[in-house]
Amino acid sequence: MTRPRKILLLPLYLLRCGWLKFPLILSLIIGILSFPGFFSGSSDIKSAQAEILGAVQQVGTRDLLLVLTSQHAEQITPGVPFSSFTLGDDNQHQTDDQQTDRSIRRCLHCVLNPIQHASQLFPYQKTAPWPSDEYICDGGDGQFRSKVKPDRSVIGLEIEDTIAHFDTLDGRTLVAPTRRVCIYAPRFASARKISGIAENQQHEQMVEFEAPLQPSVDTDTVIATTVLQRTQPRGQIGRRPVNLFREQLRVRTVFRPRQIGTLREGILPHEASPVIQYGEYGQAENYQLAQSIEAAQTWSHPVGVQVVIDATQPVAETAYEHTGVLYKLDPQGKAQLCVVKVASKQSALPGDLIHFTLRYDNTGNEQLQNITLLDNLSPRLEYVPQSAESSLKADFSTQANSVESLVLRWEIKEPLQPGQGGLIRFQCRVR
Amino acid sequence: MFRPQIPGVHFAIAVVCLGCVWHQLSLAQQPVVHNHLTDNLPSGISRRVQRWPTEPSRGHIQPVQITAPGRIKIGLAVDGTFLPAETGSVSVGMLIGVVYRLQVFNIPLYEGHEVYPTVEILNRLYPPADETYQFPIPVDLTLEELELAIGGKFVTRVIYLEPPDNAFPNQKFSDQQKYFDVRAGEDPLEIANRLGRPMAILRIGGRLPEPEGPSESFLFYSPPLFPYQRLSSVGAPALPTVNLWKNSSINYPEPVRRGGTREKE
Repeated sequence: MTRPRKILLLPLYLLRCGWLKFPLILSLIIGILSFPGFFSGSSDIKSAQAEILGAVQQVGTRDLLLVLTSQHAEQITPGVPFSSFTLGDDNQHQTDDQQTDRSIRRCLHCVLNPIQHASQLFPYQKTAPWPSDEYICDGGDGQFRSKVKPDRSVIGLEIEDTIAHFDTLDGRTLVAPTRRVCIYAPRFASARKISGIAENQQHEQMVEFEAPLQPSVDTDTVIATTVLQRTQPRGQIGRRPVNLFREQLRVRTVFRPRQIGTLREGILPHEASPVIQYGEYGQAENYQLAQSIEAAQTWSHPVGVQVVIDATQPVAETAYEHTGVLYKLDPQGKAQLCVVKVASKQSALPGDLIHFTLRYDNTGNEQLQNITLLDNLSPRLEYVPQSAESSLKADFSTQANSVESLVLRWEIKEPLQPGQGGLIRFQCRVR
Repeated sequence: MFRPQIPGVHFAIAVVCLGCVWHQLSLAQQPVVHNHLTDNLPSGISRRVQRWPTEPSRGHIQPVQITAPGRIKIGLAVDGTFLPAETGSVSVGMLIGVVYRLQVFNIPLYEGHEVYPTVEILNRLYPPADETYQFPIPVDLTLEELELAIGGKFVTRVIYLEPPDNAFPNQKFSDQQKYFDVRAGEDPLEIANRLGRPMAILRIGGRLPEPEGPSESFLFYSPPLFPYQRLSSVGAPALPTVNLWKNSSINYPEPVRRGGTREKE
């Protein structure tokens, strides 16, 4: 018997050794089971994905949901929009954009058609800007959380991140990201190939073609389903007293000295909201702020302006519908910095100017010191020199980043008392 | 009592080796990408390979802006013939997956020469609802490429959408679209698909019309066009000025609106 065959018989030989049998066989089984794709379930999921993504070419996405729910109902939640359904693999905890993009990358391998793209998988009830490759975003703290080192340098500041960090009275440094601001600005490039052509003369000739066609009678019986509703209109007069509609306004019990903008150009149109001007948030400003913040989302990287507080991770209260991000240093909420970022446009063409405004407020009950705001610009945005302004005294500096754009840095000189806030404004040109 | 034996070590090594072989086999089973669409395919094949654009692209009229430098004139093919040519740029709505033939002439230093490029739209954009016509797909005809086509070359340009986080930091705000030449043997469609999202294919050079006039096959049966005037201010809605499709006497499949209903005459 040859040597390889002896090796194959080695496990049988070892089975005779009682002391080796259990731990080794157990480790062998664990090793085999730990390999990805061993279980038939995962291969079923992948084949189901290939089947589903292949079906996208044939049917619309609405029909696709039906395919999903009918064939793999146990793995898919019925009624969930297409962009957020998962098939039970490792994509469950990703965002909708990542989910779609990864699915499409898999689609490139499975469906054999490189032209099929995410844009053809229209996600219903999509809240984030989509498709992501048509938007420029700025703000937020991206995939990796930013942290401030003892030498005041920031690590983890990715492209398009915008954060603020500040010191608390007890010596801690916290980080707060801004909201993500997105602006629709697709840009195109092209790949060119120049080749020679050979002259080719082709005589087109009719080829005999016989197709026996037989007329077919197609009858369709439609049952009339007219229903008459004999409802007689009745006059109805409301006799409600007028005072029922009287609006009851509460008197504000909190007085805050309003800070008039001291920037050069006064109040810009996209800053015309109490949140940006005074740091006061009202429900009436929801819609306008949502638009401005969505506009700002397009222009920066992953998420928005951020706040970092020393090595301590702040508690972030975030929600997509909310105006700003509230960062708490501790559950008691003693040190808080709220940073809001808005942009002047929701869509732009290359060469257009965009005004960005950052509003930061000390919403806690203790003084904040050494507040620093950082904005890592996208490669599609070019900072306009001399356009940075700050309502409070601040040292402004720039530093080149890895994508041939700039990191903007404002260091607020004076400490920020509770209830106080400031404005920062700068301009960028779309590349 | 524990008694170490040499076969146990052999067995552990065998397990590790088997694991490595298994891992290599699993890597070897990764799906291999076979691109059905290459730049060598004739115009319009992408539509057949894709069968028909899926729901978001079906019947969608994608704004396209065709520009040419100087006084070069661009003519659009409608109803079996070319419309009076326009100078500068032409803004037109095109269907996805359909090939459009253009007529380009009045080329400086090449008066009397005509070039007939084709434009094939592969994908669509999703702009804000009221700014559909403010963000067309730019198709730039450069003088260099037109000269190459007159000289007997065939130029294939795949226009793709750059992802913003991986965009080239262009320092100059030029109206000229950034492009690069792929290496010999490479497929520009594959390269564009790797770098971004392919949106359109521009082919310049090659076939010329017959002396008696362009045939229907040469014009790809004059697919419907929707010219519009692009407004300068962003935000102002613009509508197609003329529906050339309805003026055509040739029966084409009408665009299917969302929901599956067909537009009626």
